[in-house]
Amino acid sequence: MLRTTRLIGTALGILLGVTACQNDDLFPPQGSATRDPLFDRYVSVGNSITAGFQSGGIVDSTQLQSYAVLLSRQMATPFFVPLLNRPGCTPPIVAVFASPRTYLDGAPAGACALRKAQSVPPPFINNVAVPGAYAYSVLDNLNPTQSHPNPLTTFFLGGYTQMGMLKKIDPTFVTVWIGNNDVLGAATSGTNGGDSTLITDTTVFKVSYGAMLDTIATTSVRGGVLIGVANVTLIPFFSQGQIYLAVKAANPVLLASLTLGPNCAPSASGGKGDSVLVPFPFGLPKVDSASRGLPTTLTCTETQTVQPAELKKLVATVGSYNAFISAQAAARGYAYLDPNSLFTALPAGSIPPFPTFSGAAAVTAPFGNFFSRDGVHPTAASHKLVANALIQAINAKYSKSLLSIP
Amino acid sequence: MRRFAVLLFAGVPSLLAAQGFGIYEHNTCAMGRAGVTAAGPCADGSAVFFNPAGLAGLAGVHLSGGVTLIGAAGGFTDDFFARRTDLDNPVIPVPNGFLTYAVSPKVTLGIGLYAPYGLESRWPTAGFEGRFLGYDTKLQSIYVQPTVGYQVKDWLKIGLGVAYVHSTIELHQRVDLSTQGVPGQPFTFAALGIATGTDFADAALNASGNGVAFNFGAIVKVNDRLSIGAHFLTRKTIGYSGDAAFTQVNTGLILSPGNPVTGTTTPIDLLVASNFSGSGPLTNGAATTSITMPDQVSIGLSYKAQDNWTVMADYQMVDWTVFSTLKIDFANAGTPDVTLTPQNKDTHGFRFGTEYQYNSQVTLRAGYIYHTGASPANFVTPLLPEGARNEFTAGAGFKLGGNLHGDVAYQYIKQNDRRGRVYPDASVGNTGVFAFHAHLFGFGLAYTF
Repeated sequence: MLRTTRLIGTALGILLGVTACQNDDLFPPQGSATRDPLFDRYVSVGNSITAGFQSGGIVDSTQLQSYAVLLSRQMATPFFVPLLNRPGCTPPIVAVFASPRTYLDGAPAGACALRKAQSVPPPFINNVAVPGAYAYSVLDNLNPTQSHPNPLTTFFLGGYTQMGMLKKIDPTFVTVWIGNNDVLGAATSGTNGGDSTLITDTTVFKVSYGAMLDTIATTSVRGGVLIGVANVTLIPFFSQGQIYLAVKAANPVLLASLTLGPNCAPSASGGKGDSVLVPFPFGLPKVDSASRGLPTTLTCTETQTVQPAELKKLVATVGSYNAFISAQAAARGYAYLDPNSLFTALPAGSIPPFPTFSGAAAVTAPFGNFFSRDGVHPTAASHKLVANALIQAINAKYSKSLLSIP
Repeated sequence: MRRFAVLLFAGVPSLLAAQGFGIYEHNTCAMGRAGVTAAGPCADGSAVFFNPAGLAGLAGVHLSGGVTLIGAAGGFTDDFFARRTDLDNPVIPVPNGFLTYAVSPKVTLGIGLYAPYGLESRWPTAGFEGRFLGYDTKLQSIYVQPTVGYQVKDWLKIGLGVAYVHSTIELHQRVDLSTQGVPGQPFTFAALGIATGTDFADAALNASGNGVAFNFGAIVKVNDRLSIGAHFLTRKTIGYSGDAAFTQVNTGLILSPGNPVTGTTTPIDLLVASNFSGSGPLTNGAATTSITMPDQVSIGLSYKAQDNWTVMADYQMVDWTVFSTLKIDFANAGTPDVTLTPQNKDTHGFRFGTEYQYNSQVTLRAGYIYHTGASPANFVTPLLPEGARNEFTAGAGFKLGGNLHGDVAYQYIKQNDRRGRVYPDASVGNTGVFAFHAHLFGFGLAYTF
């Protein structure tokens, strides 16, 4: 009897010992155990490029190709993105030169899908970048002229400003790539390409940018990278006027009906063709018309083109912006990255001087491998290029060892 | 906006699946020996609750009273950022009182007042994701139980009590704008970009109800050293009626020009204000619900190893499966009723206690408890982050002079860390770990006339 009682007692003791102290564990995101505290909470401020806009549209798949997402993965930090449902808002272009132009999933132009429900509702948004944002916009969504609000302002921030959402997250690390639209809107104006009146005044830009950095400084931020403004005159959205001469020369029969004005010639030949930029939405239809035998003229003096003085103003403004941003980075202890040097260092031909408007490449990569089907926004390859450059800058500035993206 | 009620008070079943908060410390003497009482309740009248059969043979008049102070602490740590939010609980006093009178050597009458369900679970509202399930939950239930114990044979005692139950419940939670439908649109505010965890309403439910439960037991004296006992408390469904109140919480958010709803600058607080007035779903109104207090049974033994040393053990089972469904009815037709299916589990407790008569003045007690949790893995919430527990007790009784007796006891509860959820949408699943522990201090006095 005593032996039986002891056996039962022992068995019960073992059972309780096994079951009594089974603690559940956290399921931290993969790799977070090795995360450097500097990257505990990363926020990316920006505009369409940072948001993941490609081919004239944005959808979850393009959003996840953003350099900010790629960088967050190398940091092993949780990073919530305001993902959109397919086909996006607006849907990315599939065939830019098709007539009519086609979009993702056959969606109509201008369609706008809602925010995507995620398996774990994001408690906040780390990628606070909003397509169309100017430097002014990061602190004020409500000014109808200066804030440049659009549906994505609401979809991505839900009533917050970029700085408002950033403060909610209280980041330890930031990247800021803002200011591109302060010159891009002027450069790509459909009615007056390069319209200098649409450029954000440098003084106004500096005030907005400085106020943004002051706001970021009120958080727990311990590091970051300020990215310079892209030289919008380098994007394949534009072709120099003289390139149209070369294209006609290469296709004398096909483009026999295309008449090019003397201003399209290079300066060495008495023209301005090396300092006039022709936006493809204006120039390509003329080439298309001519190829169908319709007499068409491009004078390289049209208001839709960027004229030399306007080009000079755009380039000077970008330079002025970037001098300020670089100085601010140095003064505030951030790293600085010049994005333009990344693209000018690419092998010759990486950015085509003229879009491919026929054949398979006209659909798959009309503006090369580094710019998407709108000629303005970078492709996934470019985002990887930017992410790796950021990693190098961060490692150098903060003595870290983030791995490059292969 | 009609989706709101699907979320409101969604945590109620978890609250009630509160094996861990189902208070068993109704007497300081019993608390010191881990509540092991089925075969040998303390001789101070507390048998009214622990086993009515224990009243039989209790001579004279016994009056006892006491309080248990519960200091609970814990927190939730999320998976993503490993950020911890701590419980903000106050120290909760739980009173008890018992009076017995021996009518004859075989019959003893008694009455007891105790609170077997007393809970307060309070979380900060600032920044805690779980506030949309509940941030301040209170449950109080007072049992007043007339009881009779009868000595059937020298070896058999039986007892029966009829408990009148008065229970109140108070729930507070925030309502998340992101989960609500946009007025006039087929989508939610989340689809519009409103961040998860945007407070726009505070909801409160206050209700009370009454009922009757039965408590009976038996004790068999096997020999002079060994006794076996059992105690059974019946289930009781209590109907609660009260009020649901809603207060708008300003978000301060403003939809920018070009937004896809109004197209113009629009304060969100204006957009949703109509829900709080007229026939809107967030207008104040009456609410009713019903909750079944579960059956519970204890079976145990008491063995007198030496004349001054007794060892005891109880097995306890609580039928929490009675909380498989819960429905909340709102009088306001615009507020959809809520039906929940928490699918709770039975709980099993193992209690081991000992009592040592140190001398004629002092009795020492100690014990250990292990019990399982009632909440299934998909229903561990901030209302009651409940799970399996290990508990350790110690206590002492003192003769204070004359017929006055005093008891003190301490109990430490360590709950196993348990994964749980903080989002009302159950499909999100568990996103972190709840930790919980508590220190309990008991003080009691007993007087024999």
